[in-house]
Amino acid sequence: MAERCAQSGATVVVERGWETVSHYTSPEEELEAVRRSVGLADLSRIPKFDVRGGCSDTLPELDAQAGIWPQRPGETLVTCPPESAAAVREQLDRYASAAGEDAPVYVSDVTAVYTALMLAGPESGNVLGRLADIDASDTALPNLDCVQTGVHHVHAMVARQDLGPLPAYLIFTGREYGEWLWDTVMLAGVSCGIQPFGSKAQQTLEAARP
Amino acid sequence: MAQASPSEGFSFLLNDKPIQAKAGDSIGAAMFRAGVRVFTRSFKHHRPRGLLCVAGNCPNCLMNVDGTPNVRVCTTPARPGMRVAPQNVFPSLEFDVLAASQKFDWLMPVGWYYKTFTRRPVWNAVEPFIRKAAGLGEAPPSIDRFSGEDPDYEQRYVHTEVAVLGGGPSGLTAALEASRQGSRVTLIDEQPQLGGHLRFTPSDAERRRVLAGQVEAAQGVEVLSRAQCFGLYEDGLLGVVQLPRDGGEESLIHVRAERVVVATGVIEAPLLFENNDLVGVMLSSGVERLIGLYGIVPGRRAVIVGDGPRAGRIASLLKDSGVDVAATVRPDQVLSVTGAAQADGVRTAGGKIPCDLVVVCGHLVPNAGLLHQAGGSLDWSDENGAFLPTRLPPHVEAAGQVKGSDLTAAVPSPPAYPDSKRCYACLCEDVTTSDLRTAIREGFDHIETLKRYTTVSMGPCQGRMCQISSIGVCARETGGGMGETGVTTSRPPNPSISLGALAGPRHPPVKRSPLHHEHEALGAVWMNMGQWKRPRYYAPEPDWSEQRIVEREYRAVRERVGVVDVGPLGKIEVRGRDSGKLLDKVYTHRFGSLKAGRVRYAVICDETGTILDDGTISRLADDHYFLTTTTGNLEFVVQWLEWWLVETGWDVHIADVTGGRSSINVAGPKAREVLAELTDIDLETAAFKYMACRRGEVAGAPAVLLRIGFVGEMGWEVHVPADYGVHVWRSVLAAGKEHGILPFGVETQRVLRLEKKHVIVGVDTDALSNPYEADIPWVTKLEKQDFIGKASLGTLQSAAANERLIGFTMLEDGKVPEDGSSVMLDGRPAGRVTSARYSFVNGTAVGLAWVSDELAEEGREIDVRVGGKPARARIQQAAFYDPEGRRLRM
Repeated sequence: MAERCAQSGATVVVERGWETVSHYTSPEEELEAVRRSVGLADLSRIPKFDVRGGCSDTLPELDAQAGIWPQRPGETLVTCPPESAAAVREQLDRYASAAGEDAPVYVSDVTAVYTALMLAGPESGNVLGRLADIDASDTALPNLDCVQTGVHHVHAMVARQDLGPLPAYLIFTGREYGEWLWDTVMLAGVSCGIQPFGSKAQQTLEAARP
Repeated sequence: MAQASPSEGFSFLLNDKPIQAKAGDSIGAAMFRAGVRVFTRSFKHHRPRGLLCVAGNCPNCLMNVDGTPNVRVCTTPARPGMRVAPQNVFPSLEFDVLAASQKFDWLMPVGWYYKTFTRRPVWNAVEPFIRKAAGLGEAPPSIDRFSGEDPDYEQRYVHTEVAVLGGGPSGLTAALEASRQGSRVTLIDEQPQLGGHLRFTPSDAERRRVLAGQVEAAQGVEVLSRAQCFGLYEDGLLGVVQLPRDGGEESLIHVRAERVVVATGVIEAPLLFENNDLVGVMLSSGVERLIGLYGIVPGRRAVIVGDGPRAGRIASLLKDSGVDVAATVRPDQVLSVTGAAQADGVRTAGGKIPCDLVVVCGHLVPNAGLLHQAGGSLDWSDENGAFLPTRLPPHVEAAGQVKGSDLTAAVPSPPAYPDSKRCYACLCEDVTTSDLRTAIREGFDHIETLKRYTTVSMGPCQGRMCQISSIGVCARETGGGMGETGVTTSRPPNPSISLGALAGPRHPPVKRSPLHHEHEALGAVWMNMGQWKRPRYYAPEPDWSEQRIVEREYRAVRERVGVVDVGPLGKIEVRGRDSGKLLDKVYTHRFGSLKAGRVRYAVICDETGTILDDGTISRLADDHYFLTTTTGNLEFVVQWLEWWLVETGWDVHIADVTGGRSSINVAGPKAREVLAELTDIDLETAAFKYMACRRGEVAGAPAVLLRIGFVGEMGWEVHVPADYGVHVWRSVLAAGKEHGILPFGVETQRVLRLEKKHVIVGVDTDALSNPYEADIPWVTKLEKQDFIGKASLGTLQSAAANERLIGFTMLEDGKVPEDGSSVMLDGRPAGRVTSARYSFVNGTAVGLAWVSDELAEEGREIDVRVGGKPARARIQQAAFYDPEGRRLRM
C-alpha cells in the first residue's frame, strides 16, 4: 500500500521500521476533512495478535491502548499502537505460558495477515453502509465493539474505535485484498467527499481519545 | 397546486426535436404540454398508446431516455439536454407500419406460436422476426467496461427499526407515530415529494404540508424519496431501488427492518370496454395528476366514465380547469370508445358522445403485492370490491387504503365486458378479453395457467393494471366467484428493476500478492486466477511472442535459476497437540508420524474417494504444521478442516495465513548458490534433503524454507512475513544476477510442471477423479486408521478403473493440442486432454489426458484433435523430464 500511495504523490516516511504515509495533501487539510466529513487511513502497520485456545475469551489486563476484538469462542484478535507492541506481546506470552496443559493458549503475530483501514468522521457510518450489511448505529455497534461481515462478499471484521467524539471504524480483511479494499472504500465515499489521511493527522486525532 | 415555475424553462430532445419543459416537469408532462399525445406503440399490435395513469404503473409511456430503454417518462423528471426516443416502432411513433398486424390478428390468436412453430428449425427461423416485431426496448449495446462510459450502480445497506412503505397520509402518520415512540424509521416513497395523493388534490394541500413537514422534522426518520420497494423478503429484508434526482443510474438499497408498515395505498386500474386503450382514454387519477402536479389541461371536451362521488369530483375538477364535460356515463352504459388512434367519442346505447378525452374512474386496487410476498393472504371482499390483505406475518402490518379503508367497487364484480379483439385486459402484452375467453375455453381455466398461457399480467406492470380485470374475466367465464378464482402469486421484483442495479458496483474483489508492484515493474503480463492477479510471464520486449518469452524463462529454470511468486498458494497454520490426528483424519497420507522438519505431498478426498485438493504439509514442530493448498481451494480447505474438527474435543487451532506470507520458489541448478548468499541455513543435501523444511532467516527476514520441486528442479519454497516480501524478492534477484536468474510466470511454471507430469487439482482432475485413476495411488495409506474416504478408496483400489489419467507425447512436429481437446480412437471420442504444452526439452508437445482404462497402455498410439483434425500421439506413463527425479535431489 505504501508503495502505491507513494506513486500517487503521498509523502512516505519510515516509522518504527514501517513505510508509512505521513500525509497525502497536508495534515491540516486532512484533519479538517475527517472532522467535517469522512477520511480513510491505512493502519495495516498496527500490531495484531491472534490469541487462541484456553480461555482466550477472558484475556488478562492488557496495555490500556490495546484493542480486544473477540472473533468467536476461543479466538480473539488483539491490536495495539506500534509503540505498545512489545509490552502487549509480553503480556500475552505470559498469559499463554501460565495457561495449563489442559487448555493451552497460542499467540501468533498476525500483523502481516490483515489489512487494517480506519474510516473516521461524522459520515463514516454512511460510507460503511455502502459497503457492508451491518447496523453501524451507536446502539447496535457501540464504541469498542466489533462485528464480522462481508464487504462485497469478502470476509471482513469491523471494529468501532472512536476518536474521541468522532466515530471511527477499523476494517480488517486479508492482506491480499488490501489495495482492492482501499479502492472500494474510497469509491463508496466519493459522494461524502472522502479524503485519505496520513499518520500525522491520525496521531492528532488519536490524541482526542480518552 | 402546480409545482412548476413557469419562469424556469429548459429543453430536451425528443427524436432530435426540442421539447420545452418547466422546472418540476416529468418528461411525459413536458411532452404532453408540447402537444405529444402518442407516447408508445403497443407490444404486439403496435397500437398507439398515450398517457393513462401518470403514476409509473402502466406500460403506456415506456421510452428510451439517454440510451436506457423502458424508462417510464410520466414519472421521470425532465432534465436539460436529455435525449428521448420511442422504442418498438417502425419507422416512427406517429406512423408505424407494423400496426397493420392488427388486420391479421385473426391469424394470431392467443398461443398461436405454441401451436404453429412446433418444429425447432421453423421456430429458429421465425423467432428473430417475432422478437423484432414484438417486445419492448432493446438493451443497450455492450460497452467496453474500461472505457468508463458504461453505467455504474451503487448499493447500500440501511438498518432500521421500522420501515414504512408509502409516503401518503397513512404512511406519514405511521412514520410519525413510530418516531414518537422512539423508533428509528425509514420511510420509502416512490414520489419526489411526500404526500401521496394529497399532492395533487388542491383541497388537501395544507394537510400535506403539515404532515410532510412534521415527518421531515421528526427525530430518527430517514426519508428515501423516488424509491420503490420491489421485494419484501424473510426477516424484514426489503429490496429497494432508488432513482437519483439528477439522473444517473438507480441504486439498490438493502433495508433490514424489525417492523414493516405497508401503506402503499391503491392503484387505479382500467375498466373493460371496446377500444379502452385509445389515446385520449385516461384514468381519473392520471387526469388529477396532470392538472394538480403540472398544471396541464388534459383535453378540451371530456366524457367521464364512472359513477358516484368520484365521478362528481372529477367533473368538478375538469370544469374548474376549463374542460367542457360533455357527459358522465356509468361504466355499464359504455359500448365503446370511438376513433382510429385518438379517441373522438364514446358510444352508448343513446348514441355517440363526441369528445377528445375519456376519463375512466377505474377499479381502485389495493397495492398489496408486497404483503402477499411477505406471506400474507389476499382475500376477496364483496363490500370493498377488492382483494384485501389478511393473515399477515407478525412483523408486517398494513395501513390505510391498502387495507381496504374507504374502498368501494367501481363496477360490480365479476364485471361485464365485451368479447372483443379491441377490449384490452392487459395493456402490457396486448391481451384482449377475447384472448382470455379463448384460452379459458381451451382449458386454461385456472388463473395461474391462464396467466402462463396468455402472458396476462406478465408485462412491465406486473399485474398492477390488469390483474383485477383478468381475474374478473376468468371468474365470469368459469362461473366461479372472484374469491374462488383468487389472485396470482406476487413475486419480486415488482416493479421491475435493472439487472445492473442488482449486480451492483463493478468492483469485483481482487487479490494481490505482496510482490504485485514488483511484477508490474518487471513487465508482468497479468492473468486472472480466481480473484488473484498473477504474472503469466514477463515480457522483455513488447514484440516478443509468448512462445519466445516462455522459452527464455524456461531455459533460465532448467539451465540456471528462476524465481516465481507462489504467494497465491493457500497457506494454513495448524497448531495444537492433536494437529496430527486431525490431518490424519482429513488427508489420505500419514501426518501424525511425519517427523518435524519433513514435508509430504498431501491429498484430500471426500467420502467417495474423489480428490478435492492437494498441497504440501510441513511439520515445523511437534504441535505445529504448515499446510499449503491450491490457490482456488484455500477457503474450502479451511472450512473442511474446521468441519471435521467440530465435536472432536481435540486441541487444534487452524489459521489461514495466506495473506500474511510472501512466498517465492527459487528453482534451478544454481538455486542453492543463490540462496546460500542470503541465509546461514546449510542448504547442502546432506543437511537439507529433498522434502525437508527448515526455519531460519533469508536476507534477514524470518523464513520457512521447504525443499520441494513442483517444476522438477532443485529448489526451495521460501515463505516470509508479507511485509518482508519485496525485500526478499529483490535480494534473491540481486543475488542471482551473476547466475542469470530470471523471474518466471504461471505459463512457464505450467510447462515445467507438465514435463514432470505433476497434476494440478481442478485442471487435470475433475469432480469424479480419484487417486487411483489419477495415477497417484501412493498418496493413499489404506492401512492407517480411519480417514475421510477410506472405505470408498478401499473399494476403488480393487475395482476396475473407468478412466485413467495418462501422459502423452505428440508424434507430429508443431502440433500442440489445446486444453480440453478430444482424444480419438478409430475416429470416435475416447477421452479428453486436460493440459498440453510444447516441451522444449522434448522438442514436441506433451500433455495429460483422461482416457478409458483399456486404452491406457504404455506406448499405445492415440489420436488427439489439433485444430479440428486428428494428430498422432503416444501414451507415456513416466514423466517427460527427469523421470527418476535426480535433479530434485542434487
